[in-house]
Amino acid sequence: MIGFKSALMLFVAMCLALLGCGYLALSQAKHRKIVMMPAADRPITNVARSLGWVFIAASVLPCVMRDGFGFAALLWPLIVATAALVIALVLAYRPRILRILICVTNLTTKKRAE
Amino acid sequence: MDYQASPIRQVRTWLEGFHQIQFDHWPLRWLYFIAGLAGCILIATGFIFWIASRRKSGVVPQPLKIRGVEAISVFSVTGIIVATGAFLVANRLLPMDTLWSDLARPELEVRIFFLTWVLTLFHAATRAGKAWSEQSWTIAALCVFAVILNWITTGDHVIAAAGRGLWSVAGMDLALLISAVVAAFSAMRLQRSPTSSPMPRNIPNQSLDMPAQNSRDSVDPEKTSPAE
Repeated sequence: MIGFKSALMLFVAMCLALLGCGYLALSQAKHRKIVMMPAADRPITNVARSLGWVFIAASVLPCVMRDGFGFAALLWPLIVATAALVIALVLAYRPRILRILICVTNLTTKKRAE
Repeated sequence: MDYQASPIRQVRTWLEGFHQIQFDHWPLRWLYFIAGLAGCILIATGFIFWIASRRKSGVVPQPLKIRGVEAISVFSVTGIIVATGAFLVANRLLPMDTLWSDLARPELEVRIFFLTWVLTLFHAATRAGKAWSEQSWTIAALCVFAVILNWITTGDHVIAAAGRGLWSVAGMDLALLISAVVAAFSAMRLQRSPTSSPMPRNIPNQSLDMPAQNSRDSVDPEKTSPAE
């Protein structure tokens, strides 16, 4: 049970960090182009950017819950760095995958268009 | 039991711990490994982007500066892996009691490592354009060779070693075989690519070339219009 919980915490931390790095990437015009998204106006980029930082900040919680502050201080930066590396590789080789993350920013586009 | 570690000492212990990995925490150890690899990727891609942004298309003998940096980057990206492979092969081939002009086996292995490394620099300097793929093939061959030699000299192949619980041997052999596959795959891709140096496929067209072209397009009319 303890093993399962610690694995779950790692998984949650990694997912949050990946979401965070993904949204941060989508807040930049260059990456939106690679993902084949229409260029966004400022409010949408701001939504993506703040979502990114919120997810990255949130990923510290499972790290602390799993290992306490001492180890979380190592675990969290390394998990975020690994997530950034994964997102960079996805952008280089399979950029379309990041379209999964679009739904949120697309919603805001539609609302603004109406 | 009155003694309590001062905060400075606690911080020091923490710093020492995370530098020397004095902890039993396997996810963190793997993350260290990934971070180490990421550092290598940073250096390699730094070289590659430097070269790619300065390479002049169509010019057959590229400028000496570019060829020089390309040779150094081949030397430091694939060359050091070739040298490591040669080190591992030498470790299997040299007899235990080798003594060559007062150099014992451990020193000879180190000499072979550095000699091979220097040779890869010469190879990179003389085989411009082909050095990346040729050294990748060499890495693949040396990795497979090291695994086979270990099997011949100790009788341990991956499955036998794993069966006897020798996970350090099995893990090393597995890592070598994975490296061989990755190196062979890279070599094949490098031979197909027009620049014959490593480059992600969709980056040059979409993001690196576009801004330069756009700026040139926007500058040209301004330059011509006052003349007219």
